Amino acid sequence: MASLRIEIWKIVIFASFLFYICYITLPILSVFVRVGSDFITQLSNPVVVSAIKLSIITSSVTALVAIVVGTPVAYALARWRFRYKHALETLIELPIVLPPAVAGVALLMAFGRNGLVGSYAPMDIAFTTLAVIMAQSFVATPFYVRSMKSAFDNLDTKIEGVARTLGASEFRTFVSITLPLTVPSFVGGLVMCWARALGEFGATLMFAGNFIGRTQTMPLAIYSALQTDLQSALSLSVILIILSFTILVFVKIFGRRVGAFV
Amino acid sequence: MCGGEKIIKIENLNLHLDGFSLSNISLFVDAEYFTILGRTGSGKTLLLECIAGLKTPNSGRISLMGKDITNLKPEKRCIGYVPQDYALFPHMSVEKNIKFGIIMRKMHPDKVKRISDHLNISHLLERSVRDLSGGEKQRVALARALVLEPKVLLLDEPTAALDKQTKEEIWKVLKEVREDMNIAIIHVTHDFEEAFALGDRTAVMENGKIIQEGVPEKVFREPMDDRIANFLGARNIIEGEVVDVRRDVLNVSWNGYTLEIPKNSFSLSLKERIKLCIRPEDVHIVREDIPSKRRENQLIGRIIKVLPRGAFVTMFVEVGSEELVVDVPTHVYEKLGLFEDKEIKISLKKDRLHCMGAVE
Repeated sequence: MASLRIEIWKIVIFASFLFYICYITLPILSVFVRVGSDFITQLSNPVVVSAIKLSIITSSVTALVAIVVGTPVAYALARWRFRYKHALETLIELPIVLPPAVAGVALLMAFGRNGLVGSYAPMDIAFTTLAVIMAQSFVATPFYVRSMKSAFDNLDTKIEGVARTLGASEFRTFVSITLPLTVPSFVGGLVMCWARALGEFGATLMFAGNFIGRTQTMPLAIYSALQTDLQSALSLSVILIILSFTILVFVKIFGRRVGAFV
Repeated sequence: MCGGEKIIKIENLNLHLDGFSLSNISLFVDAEYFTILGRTGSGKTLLLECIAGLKTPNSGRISLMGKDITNLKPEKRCIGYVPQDYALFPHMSVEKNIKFGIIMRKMHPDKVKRISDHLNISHLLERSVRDLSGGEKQRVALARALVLEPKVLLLDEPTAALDKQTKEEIWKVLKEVREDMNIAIIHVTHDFEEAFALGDRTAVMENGKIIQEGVPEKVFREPMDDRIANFLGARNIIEGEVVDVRRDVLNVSWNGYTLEIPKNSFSLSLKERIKLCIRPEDVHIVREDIPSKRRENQLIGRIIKVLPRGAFVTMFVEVGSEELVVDVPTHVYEKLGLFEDKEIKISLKKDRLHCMGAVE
């Protein structure tokens, strides 16, 4: 009786596993099945080309901004003591759970032509390429900050302390000890941030609109093309699938190789 | 850049951090091996961090060779620090770990080889620190600190994570460092055997305060109160009543016996109840086979439990209504044919019975 129960349990687990794998594989496979043979020629479609270009530029700038702004923020959250730290940390992570459409509306209310800040700006911010980058930064930076914060948290401060006693200044210690030891989290967090920026749709649509060549990133181009030109939508989807998959594999391999030293 | 006379001086140091305080710590350490004994959470690590410059005290003064270093940055001091669990740089090889300070301080790289030979780790230089054993890691951490020829070496629980054999090996290394380098070593530990084995002098720390200080023999035999006595392994703590006060001897009645103890600095009067302690190894078995000159404070007891410990045997001996812990060397235990339930005569040596003062 007991052994039979164990068998049933195993079957349940196996069936769930199989179901879940199929559930993920089938839609992705379907894109490849339907994409058609003119996939490569689609890549010369000017709308597709400009969407790819814009996506790569904006998501890369977003990643760069995350490094420059997010690293000190993560460091302060992990190492400094100040009042309302937990509240501020929650605020910083809010965009992770906030519906992107809400983020877009919020950005519009702040930086739109009649927005709290936007009404004083010398030029229009909303519906420009800058707005795309702002929308992406708003939703994607927290992924980088969270990853780096946990890296700084987990790093044994005694290691940095010893470096100081050996003659390294605070800055030298940060560069030659702290940073190298946070590389796995840096790569992981950065890639997560970049991938999230690349896939950003809702906030961009609300705050930056859908203008070819200016604010139409790949996800927006897919959305537009779906109604008129299915093949373009599928081609862009294939590119994003391949890109996402490559990123994930890279992070896994790199994380395993470098992760060993922490 | 380091040289000359070697002295560290800590005066009235106070530090408050997260509800914990170091209070009024004053220490003076010369070119000697100074051990600080304290339980986990007694503030030992915090004190070392203050000396190393990683924590700034709220008040007080730390000086190195007469120079005030209280507010000096850690990289400007010349103090070697080996934290608990070694804190080796995991992304560097053994050699790069040792070389790190040499590069930072622009010293001659020759020293790496010299210290590696000295600590017997030359064969490990190419290795990654991740693959080292605990004892090897400790040697590398020592080399990394010592290669800069510091005036002071701070050691935080250097053997806590090691097995007994490796621990003793590291003790030997540390003793050699003490003999060869002529520097002030401040070593904190919770292990009283370690403090005893290595310390030229030792201090006991509790709740952020230094509560007793002196040569190890004296601190171990003459603890200030029963808490320290227990912590230091002086496990026999008894309470008796003063029945006679003579010029240099007190008579104390305990458990139906009258014990003779040396009269020390406490002013005690007749009828007062006092606390005494004696270490298990200072309780001797009266051997009827050897005629002895004097047998002080003889008691009759019964062995109720025996714990063989290797080199010695711990016996629990019932004397009247009380129980004493007695350590005897294993060869003595065997020679005398002792066993559980056997009745024996024991002697509490007069000058090893320590009075901790009146019972409150």
